[in-house]
Amino acid sequence: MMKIRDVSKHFTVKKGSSLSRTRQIVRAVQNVTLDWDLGDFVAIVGESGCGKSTLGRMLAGITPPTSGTITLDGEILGGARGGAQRKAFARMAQLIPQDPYAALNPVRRIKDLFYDPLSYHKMVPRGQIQERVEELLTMVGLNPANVMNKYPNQLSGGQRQRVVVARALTVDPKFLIADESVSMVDVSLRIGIMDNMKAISRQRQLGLMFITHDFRVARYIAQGGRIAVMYLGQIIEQGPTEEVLKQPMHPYTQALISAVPILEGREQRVSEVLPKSYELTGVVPHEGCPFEPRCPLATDICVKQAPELEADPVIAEHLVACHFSTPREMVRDLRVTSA
Amino acid sequence: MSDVVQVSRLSIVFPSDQGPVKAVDNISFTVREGESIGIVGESGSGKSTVAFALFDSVPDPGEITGGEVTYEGGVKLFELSEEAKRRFYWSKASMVFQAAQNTLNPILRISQQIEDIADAHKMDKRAALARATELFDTMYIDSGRVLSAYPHELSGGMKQRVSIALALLLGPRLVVLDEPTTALDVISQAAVLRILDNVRRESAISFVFITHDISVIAHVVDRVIVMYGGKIVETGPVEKIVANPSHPYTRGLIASIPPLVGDLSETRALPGQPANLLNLPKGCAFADRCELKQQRCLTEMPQIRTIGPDAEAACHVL
Repeated sequence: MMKIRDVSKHFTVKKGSSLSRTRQIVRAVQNVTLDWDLGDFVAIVGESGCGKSTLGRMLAGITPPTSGTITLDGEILGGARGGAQRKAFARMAQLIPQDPYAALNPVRRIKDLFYDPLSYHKMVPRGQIQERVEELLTMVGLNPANVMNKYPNQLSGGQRQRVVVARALTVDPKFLIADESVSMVDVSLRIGIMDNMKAISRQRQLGLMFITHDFRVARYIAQGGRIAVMYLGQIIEQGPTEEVLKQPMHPYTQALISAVPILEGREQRVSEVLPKSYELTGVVPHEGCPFEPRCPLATDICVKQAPELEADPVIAEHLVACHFSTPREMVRDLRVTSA
Repeated sequence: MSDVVQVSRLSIVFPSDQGPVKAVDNISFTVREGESIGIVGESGSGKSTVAFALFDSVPDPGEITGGEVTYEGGVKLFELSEEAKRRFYWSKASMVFQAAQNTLNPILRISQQIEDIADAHKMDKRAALARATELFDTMYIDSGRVLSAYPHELSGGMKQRVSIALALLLGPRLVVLDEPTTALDVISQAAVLRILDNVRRESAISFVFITHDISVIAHVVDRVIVMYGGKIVETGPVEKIVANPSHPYTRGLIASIPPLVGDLSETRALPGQPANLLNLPKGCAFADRCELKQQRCLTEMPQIRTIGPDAEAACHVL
């Protein structure tokens, strides 16, 4: 089990010329608390700049948190064991990066991309490496004979994305963190890749976290799991996937769902929440709610006081951080009403 | 209603080491005045190549091997001189690209770029700036700030809105948008689509949207053209294509878009990989991925035919 407690990540950004340099602190992730167990599917949803990728990198042990703790099976990440622990952690949690074009070394053949992690982590005896690579490629739905000896540029975007997934599996991780792992792939091929990731995670009882800006992707991957919505570094709503989609409570979640394109005729929008601004407004200007500057419901209290992430009185697992949270139906399924 | 552009029997080939790639193979369609159409397909379907052909700008080494693009008033695009084409673009037909950040000049203020367009088309600069300000107002762009800004000072969504405003500046009859929102966040995407929907409802401008995600454009188009392996496989009114698609490929595309609410069991992956244009089969290009394929599909290429009001499809099994 991975326990994430009050984790924050702050970056210092230098601004101005060398004569008048000022430092600004960007709070990429702010006090995130989350339990993530084996077999648990979680989708993290938010716009660019909400801190979702930074959170993913911290959970994969790539970026150390500024404060807070991440414990894995009782051991704190970044603790006394140093390098050995990092290596052990890398074997437990693997990141599947977003861009399958950038993630694969263009001058190495597909099979060579697997040799380093397999031998560094001593996953299999030398003689069995080839066999293991074939197994991994088959697992992600590729025909090893067709791709093993090719270079990344000889594969399609969808095939590359599958190679990236297979490579994350080389070290037998327990937790997979997929960062926008289908956003660069044609819509028609996304379901196939997601089905494959879900099937692998189920068979091996992995914890799967999927970071995305697309609620359709979030729902599909985290079916029966959970969705957490992030805004400017904080989780502002969290709950069982179907609950969050059927009855979103935070105006930001409602605005995000309002922005998802739907197929009219199959689905119908029943209400819409529009943010006051279409652009993400950078740094929080006050101690209040981070969404206040864009929120159509905001009042004075939202400027003065930050809302806590609290449980819904009806569904305890559904948490929301808003002074004016109200459940609202956004989209209706027309296939049911017509049947 | 008159046709703004007519594409007839267009074929485009890219020579390669492994033989010619037929990116676009004998396709015909028209865009009527005030109509908005969507060209939908996967990577490699030829949809972007069609967009480039509408401007006779197919990237090298691509070559138009047959067919005609005829604009309103009998203007045959491929017969125009370079100078005539230059004047034609922007004023009669304009294009918005996927990555807006690459189309704005990074070292010029937005106002300067507007003046340059005016200059090239012998339009009064002040009139152009006034028109741009009007357009910006309808697109939630703060012209006071944006006109004097450099592109890097604007967000991706804002740059894309500016590109759309520039494409509309000279009052064109046709605007072609290639994946106009793919690089944007959901909320900016919704804003851009809302703006485009307003523009198309309030003007007689025709639009061609190119995309791999039909759900993105379903709300802003009247008619959809589905391409596969360089050919048109289905066309029809958007309501029909979404609710009742005919071609097995179109059905597969729709079924691969997960709904936001309700039953997910009908959501299915489209099996296999997009058609390989280097090695197209003798029969239907979609046959190897098709659930309904018959012997005939492997040997005989299906021709596009009328299947209903304003609807066509190329499939033996229908």
